[in-house]
Amino acid sequence: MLVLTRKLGEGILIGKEITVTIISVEGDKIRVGIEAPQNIRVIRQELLAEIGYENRMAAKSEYIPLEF
Amino acid sequence: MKIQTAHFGEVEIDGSRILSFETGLPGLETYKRYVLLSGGEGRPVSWLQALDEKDVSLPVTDPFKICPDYSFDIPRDDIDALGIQDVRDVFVLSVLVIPRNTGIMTINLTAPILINVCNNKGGQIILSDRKYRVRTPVSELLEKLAEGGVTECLY
Repeated sequence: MLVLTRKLGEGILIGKEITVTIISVEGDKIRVGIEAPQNIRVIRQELLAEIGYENRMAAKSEYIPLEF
Repeated sequence: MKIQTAHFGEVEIDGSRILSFETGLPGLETYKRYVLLSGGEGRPVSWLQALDEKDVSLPVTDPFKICPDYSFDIPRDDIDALGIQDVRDVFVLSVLVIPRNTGIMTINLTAPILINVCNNKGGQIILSDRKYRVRTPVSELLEKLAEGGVTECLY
């Protein structure tokens, strides 16, 4: 893993098309700006884990012949 | 071919209806082949049954039926991965969680499943904006539908 130290307002370039900028730092909260082409998926890391958890819960669903 | 299912015992399926999820589903990456089993005539819930594990069967439903103003853009990467040529070939499903004991039924509107009916490729996409919830209570959507008013299913 590449580890870099950045100051407020500074950025990181990933490849030719992705820019990550540190917008603000308040305590343990860091606001990050990401500029990336539309085809690059940018999501919070925990969202993928949450969806994985939901899928596993869904797979354990009870079978009820439901009618809405 | 005959397959074993979680809820319907042994089921005879047509091999041409096997759906291929090349990257699996998040949390269930091992399983790449599924079939969609109807929950019964006129019933809104179908079951996405893994071919290679009988106990993996996810209830799914058409999100547009209970949330008529549901809308999203399909990310370019996903269009390419599923080989989508025409948006009319895409079949959208949302995963439900039907709790075994207590708890409420929820629908995942953040991560719809797309199936390209032209090539039977499927995938679960993740919408990156925060417009929709992973655990939207189905009752909430149904109440709004029944009211016949604005079917607001946003945050």
